[in-house]
Amino acid sequence: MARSLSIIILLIASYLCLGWADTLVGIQDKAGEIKSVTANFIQEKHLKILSKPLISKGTFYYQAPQSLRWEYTSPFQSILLIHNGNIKRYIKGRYGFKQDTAIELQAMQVVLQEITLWLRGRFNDNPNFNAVLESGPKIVLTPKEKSFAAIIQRIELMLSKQPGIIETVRIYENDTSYTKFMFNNVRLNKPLQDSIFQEVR
Amino acid sequence: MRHVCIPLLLFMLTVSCSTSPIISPVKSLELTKIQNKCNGVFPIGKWLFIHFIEATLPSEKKAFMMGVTQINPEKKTIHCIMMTIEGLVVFDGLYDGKIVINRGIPPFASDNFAKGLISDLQLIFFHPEGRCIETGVSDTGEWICRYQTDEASTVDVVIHFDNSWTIRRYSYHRLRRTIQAYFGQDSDLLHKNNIPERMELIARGGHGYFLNLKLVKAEPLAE
Repeated sequence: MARSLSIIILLIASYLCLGWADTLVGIQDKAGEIKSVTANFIQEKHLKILSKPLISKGTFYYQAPQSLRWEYTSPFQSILLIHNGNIKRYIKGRYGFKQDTAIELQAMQVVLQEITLWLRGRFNDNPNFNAVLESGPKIVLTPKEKSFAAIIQRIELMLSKQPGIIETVRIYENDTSYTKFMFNNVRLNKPLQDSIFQEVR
Repeated sequence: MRHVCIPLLLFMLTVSCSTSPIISPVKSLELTKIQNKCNGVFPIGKWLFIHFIEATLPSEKKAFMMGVTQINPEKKTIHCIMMTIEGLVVFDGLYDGKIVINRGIPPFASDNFAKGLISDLQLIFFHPEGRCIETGVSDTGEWICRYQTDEASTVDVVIHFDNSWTIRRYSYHRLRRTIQAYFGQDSDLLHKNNIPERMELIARGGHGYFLNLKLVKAEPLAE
């Protein structure tokens, strides 16, 4: 009896998970249920001249609709805050955190703001990219403008089998230079204080 | 931030008028010892360095980047990649007698930026071109080797009492660049190869800047 019940629960769970990434609309609907995300990430920078990728690690916090704290813990400490449309970055030096006052790289701002759209499942909302859902399930974002494609060739998002979760992100500058983000220890809809997205601490 | 930058800018302005110091001669036995020490400042063989860079720009703005540099001192070649902390490559350039920009995102796309960057990297990693015109001690007793790099320019390599070093480039006897090396709790690899844990570069003049380069990784490469 217990075994049958387990199989039924497993089948229901499989059915619920199966459909979430069939269409971009389905993904957006499922992601709409996500109010907050906390996760650890590993960033791998792959370059032709590196024998091994350059690894950075950290944690990110997201709160709907558009608040993000992207925090590196190694090999250096850096905190990027996006809240109410403002982007600020702080780097820890020998005398505490200093603000990066030259964060004006348009391409980077586009990618950072893009992250908050991805977490809401709104892959088509950024006017800079075309989004296509491929098997995997994988979402491939390609720049609409040729000038932007010279900066970022394409972005690939591998979706988890668990609804609403992105497993890896690959940002390609060209075929040999790309950045891979891998997420783990993902916690959904955990209450987060506003100060996380406003203060460096 | 203003409190930190004003003393720095004042310092940069004050020393921008500095002229090259007087070098007192030493006995010939000591001469070789000093010249060997000066030569030891520059890496031998192919290396790959990764630095975390903090840049203080003339407008008092601060920028943070990662720099990947592959050098071959024998062939005098440099491959440099600059990227944001999030990994976006903003500059990828090669120097092999001439500069080739593989990738550049404004404001890192200009020829002037590439020229300045390569020139700074050559000063940091490559033994100065030209002959050694003076070797001796400064008035404070530090060892100095002076190289005549072209008609108007000289480079001083200064060895301090704690074995750390400073490189100074003068143009028309005016100080233009200073690179100060700092050594910490180094690994055997860094210690054996005299590779600093941290460097500070001060570029003087109208478009002066200050770079703090913290070593993330140093990897000797096969020829």
